[in-house]
Amino acid sequence: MARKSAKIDKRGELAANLSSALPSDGESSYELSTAFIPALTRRYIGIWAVVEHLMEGEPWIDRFSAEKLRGAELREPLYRATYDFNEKVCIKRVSVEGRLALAEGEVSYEYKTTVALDWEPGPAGRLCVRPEIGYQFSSLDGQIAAVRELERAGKASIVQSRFEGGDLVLEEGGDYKRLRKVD
Amino acid sequence: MPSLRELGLGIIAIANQKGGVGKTVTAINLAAGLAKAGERVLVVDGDPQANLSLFFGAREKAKSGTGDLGKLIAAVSAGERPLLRKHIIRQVRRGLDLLPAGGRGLRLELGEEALVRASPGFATLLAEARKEYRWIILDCSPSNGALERLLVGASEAVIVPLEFQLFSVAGLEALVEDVSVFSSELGRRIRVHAVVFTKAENKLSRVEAYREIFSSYKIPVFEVCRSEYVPRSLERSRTLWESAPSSFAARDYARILKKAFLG
Repeated sequence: MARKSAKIDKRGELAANLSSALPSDGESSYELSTAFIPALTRRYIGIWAVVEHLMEGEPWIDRFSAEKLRGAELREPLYRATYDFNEKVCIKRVSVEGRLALAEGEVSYEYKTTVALDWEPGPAGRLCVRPEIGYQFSSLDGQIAAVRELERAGKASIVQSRFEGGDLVLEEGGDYKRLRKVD
Repeated sequence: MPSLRELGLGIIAIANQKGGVGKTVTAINLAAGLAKAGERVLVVDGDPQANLSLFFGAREKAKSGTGDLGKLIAAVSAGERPLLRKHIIRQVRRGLDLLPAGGRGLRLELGEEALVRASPGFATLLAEARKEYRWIILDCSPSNGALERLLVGASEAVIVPLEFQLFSVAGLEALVEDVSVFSSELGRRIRVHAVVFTKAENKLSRVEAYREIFSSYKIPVFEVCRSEYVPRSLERSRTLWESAPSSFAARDYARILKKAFLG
């Protein structure tokens, strides 16, 4: 036991030394062997619905209303989001519906975004995710208000994932999502 | 991650002071993979054990009068301006030339002083050879002596093969320190470009700990899985691209080429 912890200490010491010796201006990236990816990938495959979504501890939908709708009140908001994980691509679909209180009266509001994400599992629950293509759409009283194509082949980001019971938890900075399998 | 191509770097040392970490296998498959991708490549066997030269059949392919790295360094050390092409075996594979090691004499006969004396001239020779070769891959010796200094000091970037093992990681630490010293002595940056965990397997408990540690470093890390195809291909003097191109190990090397080199 003592020998084992001495080895772990040595590993920690080496890790700290290396951390200061290696370049500090580069990017972190860790590519698991392609031999290990299929088994890791299998755990994620399927359609997952977001059952809880917080942004820095606040419900995401409140942040959305404050930021996207410039503070206009969204009444009876209905937020739905799914992640459809396939072998290489994950389709993220988000939809928000409700009634928007404007000066001229109440209108129905709809927002949708669909993004195809290139994804790959990494070590220790990290997922490397990169948007490949996507669009955002919003409508007021059934009339298209805005349509936007998202930047193609966007920047890769690292999302931390873990499985809790049957749920999948995804965290990226202050963004926290709990997902449950629907199929 | 900017690739070596994007950075304009082409003289790449495959180095780790620890032996048996997969330097030669990595050098063979990266060099042959680049050549297969249509690039002009020179691979330099800098290990006195001359395994890379043996793999490419240097002894059989050498014409009378062909030199080797040992003879080249001896000439540079003696103040001569030798022609690199006289020491090279052409087309060990399509697009791939070899500068063979020259056996144990590389270190024993030359001695440390000659190697130190030859370092600047050798670096100049390789830099000039970039006109002909897009890539020069140096398979370094498992040592921290003058030979490693000569090879790493002539390079523009270093790729470090490792195993999930304490001594191997300690070898990385020592190499990173050496590279930093060489860089300041030479007055130019030698980039530690990527780390490659060779012989990767999931079974060992320590693997996850290393993965956790290394994924926090600001350096690209790749894994190449342990594969029976690797020793089998070496036995037959065939690269992974020739003997098992769809194996996971070949896919792992292909990914390194795509992301770290050609990007």
